[in-house]
Amino acid sequence: MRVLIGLVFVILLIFFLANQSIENQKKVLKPSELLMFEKKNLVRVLGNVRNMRIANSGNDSFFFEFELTDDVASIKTVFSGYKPELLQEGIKAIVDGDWHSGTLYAASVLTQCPSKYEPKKIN
Amino acid sequence: MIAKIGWAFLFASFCSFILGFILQFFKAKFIDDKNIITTAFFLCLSAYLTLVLSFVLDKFYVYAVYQYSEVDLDLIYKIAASWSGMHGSLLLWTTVLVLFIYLGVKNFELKKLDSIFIYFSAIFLTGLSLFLVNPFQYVTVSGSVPADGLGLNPLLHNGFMLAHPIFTYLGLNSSVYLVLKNSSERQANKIDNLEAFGWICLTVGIFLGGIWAYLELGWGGYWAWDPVENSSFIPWLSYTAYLHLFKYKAGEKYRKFLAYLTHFFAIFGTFLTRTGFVQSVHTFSNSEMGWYLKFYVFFALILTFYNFLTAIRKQEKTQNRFELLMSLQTLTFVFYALSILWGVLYGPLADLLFGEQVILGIPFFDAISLPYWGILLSIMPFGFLYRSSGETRGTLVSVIASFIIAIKAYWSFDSISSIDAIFIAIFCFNTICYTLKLFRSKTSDQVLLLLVHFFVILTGVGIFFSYNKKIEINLRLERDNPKELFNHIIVFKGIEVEKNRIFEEVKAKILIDNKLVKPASRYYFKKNQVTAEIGLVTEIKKDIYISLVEIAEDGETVAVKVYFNPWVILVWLGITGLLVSYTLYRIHGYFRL
Repeated sequence: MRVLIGLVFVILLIFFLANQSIENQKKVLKPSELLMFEKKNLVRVLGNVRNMRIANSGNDSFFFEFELTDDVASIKTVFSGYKPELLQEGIKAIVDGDWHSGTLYAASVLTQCPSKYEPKKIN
Repeated sequence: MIAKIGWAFLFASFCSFILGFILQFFKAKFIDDKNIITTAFFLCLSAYLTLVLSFVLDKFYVYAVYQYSEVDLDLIYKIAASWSGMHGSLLLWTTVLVLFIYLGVKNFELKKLDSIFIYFSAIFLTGLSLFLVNPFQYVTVSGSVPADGLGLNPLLHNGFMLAHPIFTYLGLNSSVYLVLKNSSERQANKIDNLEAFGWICLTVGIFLGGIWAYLELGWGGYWAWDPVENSSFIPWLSYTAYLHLFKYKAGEKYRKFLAYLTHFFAIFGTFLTRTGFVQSVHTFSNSEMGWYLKFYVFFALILTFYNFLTAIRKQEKTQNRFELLMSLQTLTFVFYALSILWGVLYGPLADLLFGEQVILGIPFFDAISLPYWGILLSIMPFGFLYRSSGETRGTLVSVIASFIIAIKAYWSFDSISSIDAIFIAIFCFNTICYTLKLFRSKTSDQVLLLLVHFFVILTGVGIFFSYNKKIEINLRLERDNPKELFNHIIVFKGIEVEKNRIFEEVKAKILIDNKLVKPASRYYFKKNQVTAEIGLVTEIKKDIYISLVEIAEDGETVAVKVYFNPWVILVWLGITGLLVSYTLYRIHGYFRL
């Protein structure tokens, strides 16, 4: 009986994990690949940051706007969350968000800056 | 010279472990294991202290010193710089691991297979530091000895970050002591002080990391389910499960398995951190070390699996409801740890098996955490209630009272969702149960254990509400022009500039209800890097957290991000209380014995 309960517990768990994984998985794309879709939710896009600016959205509020590029194509990205300290022109960024109407609405932006953490190459 | 001395110490330590391994393998016992390991440990420790000394003395021809230190650093940061990069931190990791091997071997006799694994671990890690990521490499720049180093990562200029790695390494590597203890024939049936110390260190390490992220990174949170955060949280879960195994008889047979599992998780965390196996904001190197570490991790995995099979083969009938409850709790901890591991590995596995570029982000970890914490927190008070008989009335009263409070809260406040109401019921259930039990407690031990669990609940309340009810607002502020935000008056009063030899800081003076905060932007000269320093007003019900985004050229306007984080103080109080009460519980037990 106990083995049976254990088995049911494990099966339920696997089902739960599989369900959550499918529901929450994000496709990792490049900007040029994302352009092939008209609309796509829950995506992760890797690219270089270009033309970054702070834009007003009225009521004393603001958001960030920049282009994310993979040298083949670039996409407009807007973001109102916390700007990582290293987010600046030319940096490689990982953007999670939803893509529609030709704009990537970022929910989070991470920067990858190997030079910050990796040792400098020495001859 | 100092580099050669350091390397020689490490090499001697490596050779001692090889000698021990050979003697163990061929059962040649003319030198005692304990003597070999003691020698190897002190040699390894000497190597690390030599590295620290080269940081203190500014020996920039030593690779690690050149990469991560500079002349103008304060002494304390020079010492901290020794573990700030890949090379020094791996040597520290190895030294701490060898320390726990030394402590374990001092107390316990080992079985052959386990001792081969232990020797292998030590040889492998000292070998990595010697031949692959050697911090003592000799450096010249354009043919001459560098006069200064490249400097410490600006984000590490923080007191919490000084202690965080030390505690985390102590906690993670103490898992090898669990393996040693459970490999021995002569193991006590109680949690010993070193096991408790390891768990306390790991908890302190994670806690300090959270505070550092909150105060230094400026994004208004303390936990982001980053793979590196997960790699310390996963072993914490299995370590916690391991400690609970001592509380019930049926748990005995799983101890060795959970000891190995915790150690495997600790090694695996290092593998994730050091090799760039998964995308992380923390990942600080993609080195060729990955291949070697994979082999080591695989070896640990096989031994863990072997111990799992051995454990489940031992048949034992559990009739008692307390034992069943504790078994369910252990299972929940282990499955929770495995589920997080699944989330971390999902991307690399999908890539490997199907060529699909996918990942699981924060929503996945949030979604799976709710039911696990729901189960763990719900069964926690039953553990106390079922330990003694005749508590049915108390249980019934607690459950009914909790549900009444939760339903009342759900109907009274629009902002409370059904999930919130369930957790309110769980929190109330725990609090009522512990209060009832507290009045019936006869010994200080019982009171302290109740307090430990009460603080777990307090932390849970803090995490639940600060995580779910956070509000963030982007705001532009003009000088001397007050803005009202959720009944708080916010005024920008101008900027202030401060400069020292390491960085220049531009601060925005902001009054929040007449309390002055100075969120700032700091520019580090040597690293050519800007970091944000936050402004924080802590109230009991919430934190008002401000990070500076931009200052207009004329200095008359600033753009800031304002976070209202409810009940964060409960997280800090809860974890501090948990650590203090558990430490007191251990000290009390020690003196009583």
